Amino acid sequence: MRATSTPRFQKPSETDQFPNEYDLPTDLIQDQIQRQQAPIRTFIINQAAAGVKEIDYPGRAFAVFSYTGGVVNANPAIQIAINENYPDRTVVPQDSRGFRGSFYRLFLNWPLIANTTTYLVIFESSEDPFVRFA
Amino acid sequence: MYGQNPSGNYKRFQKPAEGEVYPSEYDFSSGLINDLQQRDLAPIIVQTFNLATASPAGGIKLAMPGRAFVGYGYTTTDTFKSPQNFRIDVAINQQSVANETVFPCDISRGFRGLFHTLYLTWAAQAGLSVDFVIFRSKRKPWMSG
Repeated sequence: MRATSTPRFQKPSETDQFPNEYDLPTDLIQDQIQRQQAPIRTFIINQAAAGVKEIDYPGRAFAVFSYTGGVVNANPAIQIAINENYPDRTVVPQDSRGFRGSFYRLFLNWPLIANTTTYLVIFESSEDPFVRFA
Repeated sequence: MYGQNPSGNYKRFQKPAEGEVYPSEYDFSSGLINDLQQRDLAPIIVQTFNLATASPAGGIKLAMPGRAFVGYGYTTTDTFKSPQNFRIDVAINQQSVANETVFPCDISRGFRGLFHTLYLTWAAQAGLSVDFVIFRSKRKPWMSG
């Protein structure tokens, strides 16, 4: 890193607006409202019966969140093929896990797990969409 | 040559510049601090909900724009708020009949991305409360649960 002649103890400007990291762009918020845009698309899968589903919905990441009787189900065992329905493009994510990268289509294949509901969440943002602090 | 990389323009053992200010990663912008103070700006907004009873019909609407959210569950009577599992469904920006915009908010798990409105719904969870935190910074928020 190179040294500069920037004064270390600068005096805040009294007339200019400061580009604060906490500012929210009103144009982007307005755009979301006008286009009724949601940053995620969720598909809720009832695993009371086995099934398959093709989801023609592009995204930049997906993750699964599964519950059995209201308690987290660590392994919903859903097979998810990305873009094309081939075994060599298939992942089986555990709870709270998924894939990050642009895709245009998903193929789901899930087994019967009684009393289990699994959320498949597709994220649209180009930024890191998922937070877990624990 | 000893002390230089192959391109020859980088000195490994450089002599500190005298009379110039070094831009350290630990420096704080006085302009940013002044702006925070002048505008009374809060970097987070915390809403606390008692989950003992189910959410009102239609859920709780939070018209508070932000860049990330996460919930921290705890036993209602626990002063120290030790982490407890909980469950809230959070519809982002809009609600839909098929819950197509719902994110299942769980213990210390949330969503990151700009939004303008949130709709919270939950089933009754005896003895539990949650601090629901909305983050506003464009930087990635991080905190140990």
